[in-house]
Amino acid sequence: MMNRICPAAAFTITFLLLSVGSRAQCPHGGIPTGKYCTGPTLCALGFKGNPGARNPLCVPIPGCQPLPGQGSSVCFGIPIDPNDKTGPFGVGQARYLPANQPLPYEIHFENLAAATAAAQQVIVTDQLNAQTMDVTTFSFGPIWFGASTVVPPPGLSQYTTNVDLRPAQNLIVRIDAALDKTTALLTWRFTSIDPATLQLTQDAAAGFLPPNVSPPAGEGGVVFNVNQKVGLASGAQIQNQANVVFDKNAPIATPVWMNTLDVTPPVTSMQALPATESSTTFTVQWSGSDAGSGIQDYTVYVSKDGGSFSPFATATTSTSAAFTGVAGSTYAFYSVGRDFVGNVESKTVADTTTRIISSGGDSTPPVTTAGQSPLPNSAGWNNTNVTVTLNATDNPGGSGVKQIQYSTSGAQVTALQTVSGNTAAITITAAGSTTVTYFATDNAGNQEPAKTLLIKIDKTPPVVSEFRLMFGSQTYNLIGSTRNRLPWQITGVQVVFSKPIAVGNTASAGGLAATALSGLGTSTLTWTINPLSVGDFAAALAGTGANALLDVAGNRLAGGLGFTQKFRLLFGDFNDDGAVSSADLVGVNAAIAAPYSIFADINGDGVVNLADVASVRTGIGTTLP
Amino acid sequence: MTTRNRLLLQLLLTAISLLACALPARANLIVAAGASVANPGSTLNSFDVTLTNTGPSAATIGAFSFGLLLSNPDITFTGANTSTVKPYIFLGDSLFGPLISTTVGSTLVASDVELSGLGVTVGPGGTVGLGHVLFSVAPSAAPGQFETALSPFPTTSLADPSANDVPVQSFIAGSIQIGPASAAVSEPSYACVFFALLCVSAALREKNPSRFPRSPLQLP
Repeated sequence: MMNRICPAAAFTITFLLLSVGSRAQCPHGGIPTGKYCTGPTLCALGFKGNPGARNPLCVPIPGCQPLPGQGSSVCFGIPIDPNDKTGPFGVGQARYLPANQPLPYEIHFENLAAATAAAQQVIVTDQLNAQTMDVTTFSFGPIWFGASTVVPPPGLSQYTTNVDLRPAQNLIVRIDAALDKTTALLTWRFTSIDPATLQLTQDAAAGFLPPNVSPPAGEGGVVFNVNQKVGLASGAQIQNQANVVFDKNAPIATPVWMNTLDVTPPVTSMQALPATESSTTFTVQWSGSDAGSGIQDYTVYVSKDGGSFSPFATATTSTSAAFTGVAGSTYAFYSVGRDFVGNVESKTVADTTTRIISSGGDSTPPVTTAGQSPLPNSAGWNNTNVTVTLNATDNPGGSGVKQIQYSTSGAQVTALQTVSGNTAAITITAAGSTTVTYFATDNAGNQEPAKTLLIKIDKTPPVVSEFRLMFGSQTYNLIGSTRNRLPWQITGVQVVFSKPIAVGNTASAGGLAATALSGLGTSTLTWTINPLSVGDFAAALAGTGANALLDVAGNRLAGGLGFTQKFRLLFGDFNDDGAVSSADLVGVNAAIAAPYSIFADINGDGVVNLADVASVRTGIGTTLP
Repeated sequence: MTTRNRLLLQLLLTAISLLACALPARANLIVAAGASVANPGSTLNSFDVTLTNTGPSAATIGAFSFGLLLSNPDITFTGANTSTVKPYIFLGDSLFGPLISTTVGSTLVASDVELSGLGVTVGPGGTVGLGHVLFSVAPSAAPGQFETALSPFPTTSLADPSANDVPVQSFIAGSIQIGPASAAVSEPSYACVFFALLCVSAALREKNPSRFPRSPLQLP
């Protein structure tokens, strides 16, 4: 805003709105105000110029439009608002400040060129905030108007002086400046004194601050310094605002100048490096964050083989760099961040460590061995889940195993997996044949040729699907039969299983006194027995014990339950009445001319004829015991 | 007694017994082993096993079997054929004849099947031969009378042409007399047989059996 002095010398204050046109783009922390830029009184870090109250030597902000009539003299650090308040520039929009930084402020006032009368008395007041400012550290800075400047001695809380404008102007300007330490109220009073009366001049046309037709004749300002309160936390806001009164006009408040404290250092870290590096040159990376003003730069420290740390990259804004070491050495790194207000991270412990291995001498790939648990049986089968363990070993003095990769196909399909390090474990659960393909790679990039391991799993126990009695050349399946007595002389038992049987013996069919077994390796086993003609029998196929019937994977018959088949034989008992009599002779004889009946085929030769009748004759009189 | 006279007497007695007893209208079948006299050291001794229907109804037989047991180890069955004194039951229609024995020795089992499958009817009062049994006597055999028992069902059995068991109401054992030739009786005494049959018939009539007796060893 801008104070405009009315022509009637009544110090009417109007406002000139500057928010016309496009807003200015203000680099280096300049603050857009309409299409112009304003900035702090003090020059920003890195800018030339004396951070005094008024410094025409400051470098103009590139990109800013000059105030009308001021040309390039509009400087960074010079208020352009004739009634303005500036303070510590700080960092960013929040004007972040570090802890303990002094707080210099300037209050600027101006009697605009359009005014028709000079200002006789100007009073500037500024209420300090005792919660954020330590008033005991207060100090007046330069006081100036037009071409006159006075500098109070340091350490005063009250100061009075006269500036004699004669002979150029018949006035003495009395300056009274004071800090009320009780209320923390600051006051500067500029009074135009008539040298004749030593009182306020009565000449309406006289005044120490003329219209600012010839700058800086119509301008003035005051400066003071005060310290922050000790112990303020990050995020604490320090605000300051002044009031300016021209003669009898109403007070005009300056804008509020606000700073935010940032006392927290950044937090940074190195990106983890692999345990070993195969190249002597590798990239190290780091990153960090800051809750306040932001990270200004990083310093990265490195230690070789456990020695002391020294900077590897200093005050850099980069977040990565190539590092070159010596093969065989171990390097540790940590990063230290600094934010824009100067807070520096405190760290002495390595974030990451790596060892450079010899890269030129390792051309030998690692070797991976595969083991499985449990081991397969002699036929190469398992009947439970199998855990495959891969162990890779690199050649002595080599770069070391970097990773193991594997995949599975067949019954169990697994896409290529990569496991860091030199061991990996795979569980195979699927029934059937699964091929595990695996290989390892060392840190020098040597990859061994892929190897395979075949895992065969069968968890399904065999079961009996048919139990056949053998007589002559014929067989008869008892499963599902409702016949009570069978009229044949059996010479063997033929059992059909749900899958091939690999292990068994003559004693596997208990209750039959078998003399031979054939068919192992197939689904049909045949036990030869001494002929049986009469009696009750129970054939017990073993599912447990030394004689257990096992499939190729070792699964026990019916899961260990085995199988028992009972049957009764009465040779010649065609009509199943429990006795071999002449009725059976007639029945079998009659069956000769009838369609084939297996129960009439007493001798099991595949046909029913007189030989079967004769066979019945040999059994005449027989009953079951 | 000539064969013709024996037949006439048998028919007469059968008719008388049928009229006198007024049995229910069903067959009443008796299997009997004959008697024989033999000397120690003799061979080709024989007797017949017969089937007699003492009931009022005819019985149709499709097959038969019988078994004989000896109590004297000095007597050995050597075979059975179809050369019976009475007409052989399947005369001219035998499946296994003339030799019908399947087991010989201390026991004998014989059987035969009617070849045509239609069966042979044994009318009321009729008697047919089931087999002519040959036996030998050891030279050291002691004199005496020894029973030749008929094995019960199922060794001794009858079946109709449909392969159903035909009940045998009675099994009558025979005997073998070993001793001096003068004391021998070469053929069965038909008077004795007749009276025995009458006694059996009377007993059966009183009991009125409804089913064929079975061996205690037979399965249910």
